[in-house]
Amino acid sequence: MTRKILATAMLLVMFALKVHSQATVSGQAFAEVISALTADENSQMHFGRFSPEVSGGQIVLSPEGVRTAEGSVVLGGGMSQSGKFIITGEANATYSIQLPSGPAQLIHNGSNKTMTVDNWVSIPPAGNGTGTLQEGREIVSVGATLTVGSMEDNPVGVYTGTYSLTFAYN
Amino acid sequence: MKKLIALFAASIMIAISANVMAQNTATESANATARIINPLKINNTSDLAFGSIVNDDNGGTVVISPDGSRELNLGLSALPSNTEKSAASYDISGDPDAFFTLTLPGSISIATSTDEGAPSMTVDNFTTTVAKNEALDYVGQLNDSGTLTIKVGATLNVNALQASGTYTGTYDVIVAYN
Repeated sequence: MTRKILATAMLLVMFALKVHSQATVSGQAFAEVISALTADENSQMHFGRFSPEVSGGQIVLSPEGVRTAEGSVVLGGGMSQSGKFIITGEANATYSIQLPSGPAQLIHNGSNKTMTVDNWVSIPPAGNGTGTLQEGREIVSVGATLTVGSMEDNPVGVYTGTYSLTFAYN
Repeated sequence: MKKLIALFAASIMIAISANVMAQNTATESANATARIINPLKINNTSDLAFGSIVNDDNGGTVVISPDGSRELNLGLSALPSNTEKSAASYDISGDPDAFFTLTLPGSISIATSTDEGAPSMTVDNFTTTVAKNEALDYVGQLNDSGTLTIKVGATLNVNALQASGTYTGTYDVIVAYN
């Protein structure tokens, strides 16, 4: 008697899965480039002509360019003007204006005599974000006070010096 | 007497043949198995934003790290009032504790518009919170809830005399079960 052994084969069932084993996503990258802030002197601060007379005094030059004499100083004719700077950069950006923290020395051309310029004032005023670049530009006007000594301290002649301002995006 | 014998014989034969039939077959049971896995998904939750960069006409680089901090190099500065900077953020979901590979772009271009010749900048050196394995592939692991948030940073290359404007671009990030 032959024995027939039927064996049931083991079936491995493989399901055809839609396998989500990889995924891709898109992302966005952004950057904005802003024009650098530039500042250029447009007119030089000039106290004009004057005479110290008896004991000197002061000349106050407003940002609008108006001179006022104090003490015995007598103002002469000729040109005088406030300092003016053109600031350019990103439209509508605000920026800070920093005036000199101390006096500037004007030195006599020909001797070592000096005069002091101080009490800096500007329009727009100094401070954080006091300036606004309407259409990308603005003019900053600067005035100050010149202290004049006697005729001996400050002989006749031309006195020149420099001063620094700092402008920065706010 | 005859009848009885006949019946007896018949019943014995049936019993014997039943036994033989049983020995002709053998059965075995087996398991069929299939495992359904959670699909791997990735979702972008935050853009890669470099912010407002002031160019001094010399150019430079802006690096956003995966932790969201920004480093400005060479002559570049940023508008202090502007806080729109961020690393890109992605939420990944799938099988708990599963390992995945991450593929980042090599370099992409961002431009002021899709017009040909529009000012553009290159963004490259993509970095991420996912670590690299010995083969220098990014391999990460989902947590025991099957999720993970990853961050991506990159470097923006600003050219000298780069034109002012808003630059945008897109890039793909791919994750795959490892």
